[in-house]
Amino acid sequence: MLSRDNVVRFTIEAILFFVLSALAVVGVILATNTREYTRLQAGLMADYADVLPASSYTEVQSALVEGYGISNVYEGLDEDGNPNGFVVEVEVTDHQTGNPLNLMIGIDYNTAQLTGLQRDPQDQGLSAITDEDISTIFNQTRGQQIPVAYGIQRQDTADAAEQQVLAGLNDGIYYAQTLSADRSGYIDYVEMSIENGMITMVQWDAFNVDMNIKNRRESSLDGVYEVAGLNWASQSYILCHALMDVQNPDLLAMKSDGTTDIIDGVSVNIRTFVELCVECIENSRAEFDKDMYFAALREIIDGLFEGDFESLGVVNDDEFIVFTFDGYPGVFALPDGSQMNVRQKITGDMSDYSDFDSTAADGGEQMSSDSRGSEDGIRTGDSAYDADSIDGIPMAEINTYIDGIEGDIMSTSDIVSAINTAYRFLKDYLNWMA
Amino acid sequence: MTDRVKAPFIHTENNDAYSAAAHLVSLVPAVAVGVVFYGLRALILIAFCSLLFAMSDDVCSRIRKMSRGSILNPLYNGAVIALLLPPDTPIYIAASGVLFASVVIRQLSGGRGSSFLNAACAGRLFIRIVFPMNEAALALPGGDRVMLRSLIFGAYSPEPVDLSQYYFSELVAGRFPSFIGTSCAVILLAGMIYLISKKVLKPYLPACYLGMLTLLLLIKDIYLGTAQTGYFLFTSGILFTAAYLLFDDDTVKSFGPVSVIQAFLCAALTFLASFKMTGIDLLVIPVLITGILTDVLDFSDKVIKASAEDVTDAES
Amino acid sequence: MSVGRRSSSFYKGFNSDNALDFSKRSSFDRDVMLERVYPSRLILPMLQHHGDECIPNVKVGEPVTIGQCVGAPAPGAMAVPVHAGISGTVTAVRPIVLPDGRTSMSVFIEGDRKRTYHPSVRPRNNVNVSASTVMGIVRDAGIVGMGGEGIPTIVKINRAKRFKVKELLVNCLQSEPFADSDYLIIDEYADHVIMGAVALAGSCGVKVINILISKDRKKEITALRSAMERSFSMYSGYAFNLIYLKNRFPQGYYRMVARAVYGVELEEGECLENRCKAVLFNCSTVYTCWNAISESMPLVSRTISISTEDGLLRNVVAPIGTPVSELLDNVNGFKSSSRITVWGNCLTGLQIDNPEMTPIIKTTSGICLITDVQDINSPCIGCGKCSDVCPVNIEPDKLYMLINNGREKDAERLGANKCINCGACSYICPSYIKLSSVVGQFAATKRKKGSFPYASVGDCEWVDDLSLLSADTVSSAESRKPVSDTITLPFEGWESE
Repeated sequence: MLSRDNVVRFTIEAILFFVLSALAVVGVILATNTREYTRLQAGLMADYADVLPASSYTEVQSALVEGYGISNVYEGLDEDGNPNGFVVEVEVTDHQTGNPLNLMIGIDYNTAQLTGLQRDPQDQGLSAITDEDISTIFNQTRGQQIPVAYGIQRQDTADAAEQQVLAGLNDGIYYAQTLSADRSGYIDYVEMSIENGMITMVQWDAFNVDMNIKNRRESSLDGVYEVAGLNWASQSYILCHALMDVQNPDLLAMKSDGTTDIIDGVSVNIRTFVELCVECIENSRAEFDKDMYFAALREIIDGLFEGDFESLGVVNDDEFIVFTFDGYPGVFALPDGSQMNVRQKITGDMSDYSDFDSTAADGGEQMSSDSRGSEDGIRTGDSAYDADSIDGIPMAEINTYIDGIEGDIMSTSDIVSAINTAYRFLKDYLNWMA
Repeated sequence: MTDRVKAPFIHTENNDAYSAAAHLVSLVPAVAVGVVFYGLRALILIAFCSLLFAMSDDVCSRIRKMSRGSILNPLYNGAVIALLLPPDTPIYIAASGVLFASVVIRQLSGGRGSSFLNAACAGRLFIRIVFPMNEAALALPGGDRVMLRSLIFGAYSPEPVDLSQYYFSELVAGRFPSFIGTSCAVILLAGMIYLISKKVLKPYLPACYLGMLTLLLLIKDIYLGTAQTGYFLFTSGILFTAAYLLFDDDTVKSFGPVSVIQAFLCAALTFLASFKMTGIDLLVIPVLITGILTDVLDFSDKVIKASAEDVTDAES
Repeated sequence: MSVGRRSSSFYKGFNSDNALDFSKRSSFDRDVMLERVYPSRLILPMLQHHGDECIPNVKVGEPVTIGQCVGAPAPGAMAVPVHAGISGTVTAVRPIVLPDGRTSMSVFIEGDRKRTYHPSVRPRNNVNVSASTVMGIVRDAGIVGMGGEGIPTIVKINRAKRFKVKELLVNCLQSEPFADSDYLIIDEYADHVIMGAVALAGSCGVKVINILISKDRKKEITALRSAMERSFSMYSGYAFNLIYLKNRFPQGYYRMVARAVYGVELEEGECLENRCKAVLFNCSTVYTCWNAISESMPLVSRTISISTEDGLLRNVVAPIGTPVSELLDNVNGFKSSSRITVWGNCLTGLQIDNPEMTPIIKTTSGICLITDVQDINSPCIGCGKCSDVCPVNIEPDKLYMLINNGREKDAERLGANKCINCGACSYICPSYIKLSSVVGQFAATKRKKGSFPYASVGDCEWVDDLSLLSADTVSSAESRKPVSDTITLPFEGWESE
């Protein structure tokens, strides 16, 4: 046993020892900080010098980083301490193998030009994307401003079917949406711009009957909505551009099972897309534009609920009418068992009645129902998603178009997605659009 | 006269409790380093291991109805085990090592003072063998100091340890991935000096151990044309061995000529082990072997002496 | 053990035999300077030394004075006389049991508070006496080793002469905790210590006087240096050396001295005189010798350290035979009856139950009061500290276990019999195990059986080799024959024979 004096003495010594030791450790830390900084810079220099030449690198501490699937972001500084660029370490999923791919992307601060693109040293090499693939993309983007979009096999689709400009199209923006939700609760819609009688823009997306769930494009970019092959947003993007190329949904060569073989990277069921495109085209011919469509739909629902549309609360933040007619099968039914569309219902014009089976989207059957709540970091209702876009970036912002890797649209898409993810982060971080 | 108290009537204040208290206080700097470097999880691990060892020791002693000595000693042993753990060790792994040391090693071998194996070393080696994956979880000093998930799930983001990238001053300061309390050479030296000042550690013992080891390493360096001695001394954690593991009072002699032999023996074993072992193996295995060999040699020495005297008696 | 450093600053070249110049006289200022105890009664055992018991030569009712012999040695016995330390009346002559277990006839004296001195106690006019005179004075003054061994000083002188020793060692190495009565003597009477040493050196026939002292004792070293400088001109035929040793217990034990000063490990049967050609006297003994020479004062009082374990310490001069209770009652701060009273020092002393009937004797250098003897009920942890401090290089922890397990032969093989019961192992043991009690008792038992050439006093204190003492008994008896240079016989015991 300890005497009381010793207890007091040891207690005092322990406290003093702890305080002195903590001070000593802090002192040692301060004393070796320079060393650590030098060592850290040497390590960073070894990793990043080829991606973004700089005198030193500083880690960017921002809550935004986590929201983009970004591992680390370092700011490169010149000798005077002025920023000269960023190195963004992005992790994307290789859609061929499902494994992660870590890339280091160097971006010039002043010009937003790509200064380097390399595999991250931390990458475990599990993806099917080779250094050669990365090098190919880098060679096409070196010194180019981001964001980047890649060519959508224009030649391929053109070869498959000569471009046919549909007759009788009236200029304007046309819209169509499915009248029933798929199994995941998504209501698909297509928005089509026609200028000079040609389809110049097509967007295919879907909003959910649960307004808390992001639209399908955003969910797929978040990894929440998963489909085979490329993410759904990329496939939608490719498909829309394919239609713009061929100008006729019939030339998309949809098979009886709803898929197509002629468009690289598109593996989803495109039946709903084709049906909605056909409806948009017919609406164009009938000069039934987007505003008229929404007004008609509103009127139909209003009639169904005896003028109580406003109280239903079916208009979401993006002004889409989130309503499914699953519980009202007779509203659009025709005597022969087929269905009308909105324009036909409101105008009674059945001259363009077609044989298209406008049932609920089959594509939903192949889609995962693993949809969850929204995550922070990606804005909902962003105007960027309201227009035609790639990787969530409006096409209007795209600065560079590349051909990509020949015959490997999936790898191209993955790498470009990484570059554009870096762009999106920096856009938010630096508030470029402000 | 039978009821009288026998001499001596006074005792040194440097008793078992005093020694354990001094050892505990000497660990304070290492604990401070662990807390500053690794944060709350290190503090929780140290406190948990200490208390668990003390409770286990107390319960076992009560069951066996044997005296257990000062409660501070098991607290110290528990703290030593914790300081030898990677910072991201889960609680259940630490608990298994502590219970193995307390129940199996100490109690089953006869209780306090009867074991020839250093309980803390044995407990730590147990963790090393049963949970080998835990050894890879050497977190970088600094980082998230309030992160506690590792206490349940283990290593969150273990970093590969490449000490070659560190500067010598960083190695001396302990700013490299290591166990909770073994990295900072300066602090370990402070603890050692404290023990010496409290007269619970003879200065010549760590001097013999470290001196012998340094000499052997220098010879090796000269022979191989390398310069690894300083690097080894400051990164391997053997300063922790010299201060807290080798001369623990319990299992080996801490005083007298035998302890000097132990120091040299352990230094030689550590040197040999350095060819094949790293990490915790290098710290605890030579100590455990030294404990065993010391008892064997001590026993053999007595047997030889007794035999020699028998022969002499017979001749006379 | 530490090695001393010899000081050559007092080496003298002049050699003078049988020409001691004891010109310096002592004074009685000690009465003023020292705290003295004046007890109301005395209990004077006839056996206060190592040797044979004296025979009381006073009767009940007989008045006695200070310095009067009350116990005379039997002819031929290894004994020295016992003298009264107070004046008064003999109230009883009956045996008592001493704390060490010995039974001794004792003279009980009731004091008259007059402090009447015996006529023989008077300052010597001429202290320039011969060696044989010194021997006679030392013998008749009843002087014995006051460091604890209790060997009659005359026996040691004779032994030194027989072995033709070259050096005289003055033991100023008192090192047991709380005991510093010797240092008080040095502080106050350094001159007397030096002169006593010269007297004893002359009687032993040596010219080199080595004073052994702890190097930490700066004050005492200074006092001794000053005394030696003052004595330089008077004793030019003698060489003085101060030898500094480390302050550690039991540095004053003769085996430790041999190891420290001469680098010699004394084997069983060896002593300083025959192996190192040196004779060792305690500084209190040396001082008492000079007191006997200069004042004709026999050994009737001594300095005693009274201490407690919490650091209270007082040195007093008390008449030999003072009951412990009277001693404590006369010194402030030591009256707690709740404490354990230790007869002797705290490491080697003995607990006493009856302080009223227990006197201090010639070898009692201290009385300790212990509030509580600590026991922490902790097992041996095998730290090895006991072996580290053991002055005779045995392993008390192992011996303790062997003896407790009945393996006595194994214990003997490992040297259990060497134990001197100094208590160092028990003191240092972190588990407070009574190692010295067990091992020391075992060793004492073996010695009492005559297996070893040691003598024992009680069960705890060991003194010099018995074989040598027995041999000296003869010469001691022979020395009692009157010789031509034996001068005045100031002590009644001698005169009465």
